[in-house]
Amino acid sequence: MLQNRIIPSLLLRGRRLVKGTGFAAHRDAGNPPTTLRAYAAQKADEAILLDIDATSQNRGPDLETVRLAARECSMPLTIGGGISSEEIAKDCLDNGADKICLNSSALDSPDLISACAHRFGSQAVVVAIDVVDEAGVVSLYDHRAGQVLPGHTWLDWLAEVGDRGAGEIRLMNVNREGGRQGYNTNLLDAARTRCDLPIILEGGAGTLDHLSEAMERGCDALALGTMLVFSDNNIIQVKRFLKNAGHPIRL
Amino acid sequence: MHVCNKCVMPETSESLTFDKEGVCSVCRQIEFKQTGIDWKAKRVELESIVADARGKYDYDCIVPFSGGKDSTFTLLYLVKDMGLKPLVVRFDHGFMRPTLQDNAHKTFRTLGVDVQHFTPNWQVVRKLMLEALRRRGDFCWHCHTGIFSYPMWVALEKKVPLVIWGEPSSEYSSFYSYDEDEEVDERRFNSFVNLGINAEDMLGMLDDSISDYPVTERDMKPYRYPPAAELRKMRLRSICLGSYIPWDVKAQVKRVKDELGWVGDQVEGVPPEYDYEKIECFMQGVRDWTKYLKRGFARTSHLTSIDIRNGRKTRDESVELVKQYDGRRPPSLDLFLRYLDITEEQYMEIVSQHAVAPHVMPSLDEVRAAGMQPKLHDYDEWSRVVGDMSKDD
Amino acid sequence: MTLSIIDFGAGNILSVMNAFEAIGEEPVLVSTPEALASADRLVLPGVGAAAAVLEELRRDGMDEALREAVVDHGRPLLGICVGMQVLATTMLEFGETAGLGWVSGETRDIRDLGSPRAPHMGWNQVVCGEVETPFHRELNNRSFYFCHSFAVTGTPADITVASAFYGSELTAVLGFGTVLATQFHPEKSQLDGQKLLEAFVDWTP
Repeated sequence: MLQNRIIPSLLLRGRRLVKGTGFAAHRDAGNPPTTLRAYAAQKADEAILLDIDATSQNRGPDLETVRLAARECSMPLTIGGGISSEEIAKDCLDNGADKICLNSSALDSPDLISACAHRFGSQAVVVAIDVVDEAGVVSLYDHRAGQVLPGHTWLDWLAEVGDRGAGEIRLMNVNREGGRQGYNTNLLDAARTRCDLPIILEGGAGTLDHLSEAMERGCDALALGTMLVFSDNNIIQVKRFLKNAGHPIRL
Repeated sequence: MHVCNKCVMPETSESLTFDKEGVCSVCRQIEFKQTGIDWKAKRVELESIVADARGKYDYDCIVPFSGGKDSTFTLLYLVKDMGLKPLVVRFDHGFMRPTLQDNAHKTFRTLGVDVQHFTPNWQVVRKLMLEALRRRGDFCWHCHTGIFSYPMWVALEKKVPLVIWGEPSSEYSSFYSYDEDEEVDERRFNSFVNLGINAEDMLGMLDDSISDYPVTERDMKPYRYPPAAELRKMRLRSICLGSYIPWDVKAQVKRVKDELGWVGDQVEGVPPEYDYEKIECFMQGVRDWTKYLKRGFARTSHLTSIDIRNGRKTRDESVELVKQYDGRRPPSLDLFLRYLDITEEQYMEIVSQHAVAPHVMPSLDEVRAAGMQPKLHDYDEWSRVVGDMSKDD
Repeated sequence: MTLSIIDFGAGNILSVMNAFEAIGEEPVLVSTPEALASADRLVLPGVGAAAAVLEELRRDGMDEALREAVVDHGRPLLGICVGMQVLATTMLEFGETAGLGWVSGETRDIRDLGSPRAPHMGWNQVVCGEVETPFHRELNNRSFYFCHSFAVTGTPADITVASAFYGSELTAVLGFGTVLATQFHPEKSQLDGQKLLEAFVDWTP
C-alpha cells in the first residue's frame, strides 16, 4: 500500500541553507547539496527546497543550486520560491526538480496553477498554503506582507487550489514553525472536508510522538525542519520509530 | 520510558525499535548474528576480497586504528592470522590517554607495521566541538567524521583499494542489520556517522564565540569524505572485519592482552570489570555524561546489554549496575568546559535543547546532589593546554 | 558498454542521467535512429502523456530503430513509467491511441482499475508474482516511487512480473525478451532503485 512520507524541508538564502522560528531569526543550516546528500542517505522520502528570497527579489529559484541539489537527490525533489510563470517552472524542472511549489504567485494569479498542471502534469505541481492559528481562528497568511490575508478563507482557497489542478498541498502552520510544540492536526481534519489531495503537513514538529500523532490523524506526509537542523534527530531513526508505531513507512 | 525486555537499552537510544515481545532490534540483530549467518562462508568471502589486493600495491590494505580493543584486535587478526601488510592510519582526536599510547606503541613494535599518524588542527577542533555540541548535543563530530574520512583520503593518495575496519555498526545499533552488507562508504557516513552534517555544512555554521581563528575549506578536509566518484574509480572496498568473522569482544580482548600485552584501564562511569571499553579517549566520560543528560542512559547500560545478549549477565544484575553507575557527573567535564571556555550552566543549557522524549533532563541542582564520579588515575596527565595564551598562562 | 538514454524532448532526463552516473556509468543521450542503433543498452524514460511520447518516438523513425535494436538485435531495454506504457497495444488516455504494440495490453485510468485517487503518487511496495525474473531480489517487497495516473492492464500473465497495491493490484513491472519495464521510477527510488539500475546494467539476457 501507499506509504507515508517523511520530507525534510530546506530553506535557501543565497547559496546556504537557513532555519529559524516563524519567518525570522535565521541561522546557517548548511550547504544544500551536502545536506541533501545526508538526507538521501538517511532515507528521506522526498525533499523540499525553497528559495526564500526569490519572491522578494522578483526572480525564480537559483538554478545553479537547483542543479547541484538535484544531483544529490535520489528521491523526488520539490523546488519553490518565486515561481511566478510557466517558464520559471520549466527551468526548475529542466534543472532537475521533480515538482515545483507555488505559494504567493498562486495567490496572485491562481491561473498559474492550472497552467502548470496542464503543461507539466498535476503530479508536478505542489501548492503551499501558509496559515496562522490564533486562539483557534485559522487564517490564510501572506509571508510577503508578514500578515494575515483579509478576504480569503483558507478553506475556500484550499478547495480552489484543488479544483485548479494542484497535485499536492503543503500546509504550513506558520506560528508553530520552530516551536517544537507539535503539528496542528486540527488543520488536517478541516482540510479533509474540502480537499482530498495529498497533504504535506509542516510546522511544529519537536518529538517523535508528534509525528506519530499526526499520522494517526490521517496525515500521509510530514515535513520536518527544526527537528533535523537543530536537534540530534536522524531520519532513519524517525522512520523506524513510526514504522514501529504501526504506520506504513518505507525503510 | 520503555526499556528492552531482554537487555536494558531504553527507547531513547538512537535507532532502536521494539518488537511485539518488547525486545529491541539490536538484541534481535545479535540473535540473527548468532544463528542466521554462515560464518564459514563469510570467512571464505573475506579471503577472496583480500586476495584481490594482496601483494599488488605498496600495502595490502589500510587499517584505521585508535588503539582501543577493536582496532587492536583487527590489526592483530589481519597481520598475524591473515599475513597481510597493512598501513595503519591513526587519527588523533586530541584526547589520547597514556595507557592507550603505551598499548599502541607495544602493538606496533610487536606486530611490525608501518604507521601514519595524523593530528588535526586543534584550533579548528575546538570550534568544531562547540558547534557540534550546539547543533546535535554531541561534541564528537570532528572525531566521527575524521576517523571515517581521513583514512579514505590516505587510501586514495596511496592507491590502496582496501580499507578494513573492525566491528559493524549492527553490533550496537540499528542503522544497519546483520543481514545486509555494511560497506563503510559515503552512504554509511551520511546515514549516521556525520550526524547529518558534512564538512561543507559545518564550515558555514562555525562562528567566533571561542576564538576568531579563521577556519577555511582546506582546514575541513580531514572531515570531508573524499568524492565518491574517485573512490569508485579505484574500485575501493571499505569493509568491516566483523562482517566476515563473528565479533566476540571477550575473546578478542583476551587475545590482544595475551598476544600483544594490551592493558586495560579504568574508565569514567562504568563498573571496574569493564576495563577494556573505550579506554582510548579521556573525553569518554563527558561523552557518556552528555548522552545520559540527553537520553537518560549511559555506557553501563550499553555494556551490560552486550553482556546480556552474549549470555554473560542477567537482566536483574544489569539493572542494578545501571542504577549504580549511569548518572553521575564525571570530573573530565571540568576539562571539557575549560577547552570550550563555557560554564557548566551554559553546557547544561545547550544540552537541554537536545533531550530526547520521554526522558527529562535533570537540573544542575539534581546533578550536584547526585555527586561526582571519582577521578581516574591519569586525570592529572591529560592536557590542560587550550591553545590560548591568555588561558594557558 | 554504451548505455543510451532516449531523449525525445519530454520528461526529466536529468534525473535518469544522474542516477546512472551515481552508480558509476556514463550514459549518453540519443535522439536519432543512428545514435540509437549504436547503443549496447537502452533506457526509455517517460513523464507526461503517453500520446505525446508516442508522437515524438514515431517522428524520425525512432520507434522503428528501437524495435530493431531491442526486438531484432536483443539489446537490453529499461522502460520507465510512460516508457513502459507505450510498449503496450493501446493507450486509453485522451481517446484511443495505438501504442508500440510490443505487448498486448492497454493503458487505462487507474481509477477505472480500482484506485481511490489519481495520480498514484508516493512510495509503494512492489510484490513479485509467479513469473520468474532475474530481478527478483531487487524487486520483491521493495519500495519504489510511483507517480502515474494510468496503468498498463490486460498484459499476458507470463510477462507480468510484479504489482503494487493501490486500491487494487496495479502492474508494476513487465519483463519479456530483453525488456525490463517498470511503472515506478527507479531513478527516484534511492538505494532500492540504484540496486535495480545496477542489476539492469549487469544483466546479460
